[in-house]
Amino acid sequence: MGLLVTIVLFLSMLISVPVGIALGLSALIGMLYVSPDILIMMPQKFLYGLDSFPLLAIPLFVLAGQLMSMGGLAKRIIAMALLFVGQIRGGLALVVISSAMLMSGISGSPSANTAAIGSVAIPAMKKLKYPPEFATAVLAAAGGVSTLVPPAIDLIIIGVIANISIGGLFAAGILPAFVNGIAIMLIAYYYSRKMNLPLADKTTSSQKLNILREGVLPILMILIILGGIYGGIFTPTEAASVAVVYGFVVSFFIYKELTIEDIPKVLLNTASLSGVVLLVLATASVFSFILTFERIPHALAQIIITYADNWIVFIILVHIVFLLLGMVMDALPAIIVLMPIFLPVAVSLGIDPIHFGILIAANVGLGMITPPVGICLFVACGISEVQIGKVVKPLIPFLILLFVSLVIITAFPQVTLLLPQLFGFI
Amino acid sequence: MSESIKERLEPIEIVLCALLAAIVLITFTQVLFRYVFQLSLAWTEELARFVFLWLSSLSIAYAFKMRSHFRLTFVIDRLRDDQKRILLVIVNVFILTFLTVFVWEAVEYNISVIDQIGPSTGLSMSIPYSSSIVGGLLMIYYVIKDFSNPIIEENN
Repeated sequence: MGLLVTIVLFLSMLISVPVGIALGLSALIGMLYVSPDILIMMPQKFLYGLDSFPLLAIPLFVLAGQLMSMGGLAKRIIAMALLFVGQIRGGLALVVISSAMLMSGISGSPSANTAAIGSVAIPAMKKLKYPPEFATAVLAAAGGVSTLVPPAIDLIIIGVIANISIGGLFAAGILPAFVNGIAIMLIAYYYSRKMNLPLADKTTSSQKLNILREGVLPILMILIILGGIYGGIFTPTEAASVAVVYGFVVSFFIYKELTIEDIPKVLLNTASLSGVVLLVLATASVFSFILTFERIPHALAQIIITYADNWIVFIILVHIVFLLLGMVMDALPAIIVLMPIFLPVAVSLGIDPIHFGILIAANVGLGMITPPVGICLFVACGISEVQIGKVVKPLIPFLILLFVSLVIITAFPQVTLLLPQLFGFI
Repeated sequence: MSESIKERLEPIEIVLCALLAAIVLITFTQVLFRYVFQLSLAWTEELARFVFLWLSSLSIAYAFKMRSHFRLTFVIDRLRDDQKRILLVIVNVFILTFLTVFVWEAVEYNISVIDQIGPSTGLSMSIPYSSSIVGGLLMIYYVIKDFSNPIIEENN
């Protein structure tokens, strides 16, 4: 049965059935195989997969991100980043990375951020005669790093699926995300020097002051969200709604850049972006049910334990599985289906659940920029109109770096667990 | 909202906007009451979840309309146009098969939960759960509409 379901899943994905429907369809086949009587579990598990208060944070953070890019907050963050690193060689590349990380601190969706930053930064980089392939690679890499930046959607989903504290995951992501961000900036800087990229225009000191003043409100938004969550003032979902209200007030009443006409557009973009994630969440929960009904996760876990009897072998196995899946498909279904199988084994081998969640998120981030199927890579290439094949070469150093960082994070749980301990999540 | 925008929006779009706005309001009210009025509201979380279920089902349908659902296209991109057209018909038949069974079962499921009551709102559970029927029907509608002009689009 497990084999049949897997074959149907991969075959239907291969012929371009939407991933979410492919999951539902293969679960349907599995249910028919077992007994048509359990078909009623399909809508039940579909709804069950969505019926969770923490998941509300997904459309809310996406909405906050949309408000930021339409309402002029994103623009100001980019301007501020430019102020700090613009005079360095390859400064625009560094701006892309730092502003992508900052933006992720609000919207949590790497692909939406890549689009928001890219639509401003790619034309600017083209104007300064950056090689388009390099510019695209930097943009994609910045997106891949941001899966660890709270409030990343992947962290929310990992928390909900595996029943791990989302606040704890958010705290654990900061340090590795920060280190990764600095590291890819160094790589971007190294190549910019090597290619001798031109500098951005100088700004006068009155312009500088103005940019700084303008940047206060967007930065305050990030502080409110993260401070509120870590300080235990509100849950991630509540923080997301505060972010939406804040973003709306700032862009509509203060900046006046968001017009009444923009509001439906912002809301509908959010609905469409969330719908994509939510379908996969819902049907992956149906898919998980049929696997569990047939006790497949249990059997798989038994096999894993037999071969991987210590945490090192196990974690390498998990990384390989996720990397391979991440190369050919969207990581979300893999998280939803595999997390419940892997996590109990991980815990029994002495791996902290929060650490394990971060490892998966870091791995998924790498998958987002790995060809042929990497969502950030797609989005970045879509904006810069460069073929994916051409981006691979400048992307390789970033891929190697993120891989090395994955190995380091895996080997040293302290990197992830330090902050959650400090904030009292563990 | 001015008249011109209303005219340009389709009914599903107006409903989606309203649902999203409602979720923001409900969750924000929850925070507001706790910190400003020192009151923890019992019903907000459940109500927000109910609205979210409707938002989910309808936004999934909406993503079908916008053709933004995530698909792998590296096989179909390599086909000739006539082959693509045939494959897309097969794909749509697959999608419709799933959705039809889904809606059918959703109806049965909803009948079975009509008497269940949400603990803090007192609403029948078929109020949030019937979103699966409406959403499913809308998905079918958009997929069938797709049949008439199948355009292959790049991912996202």
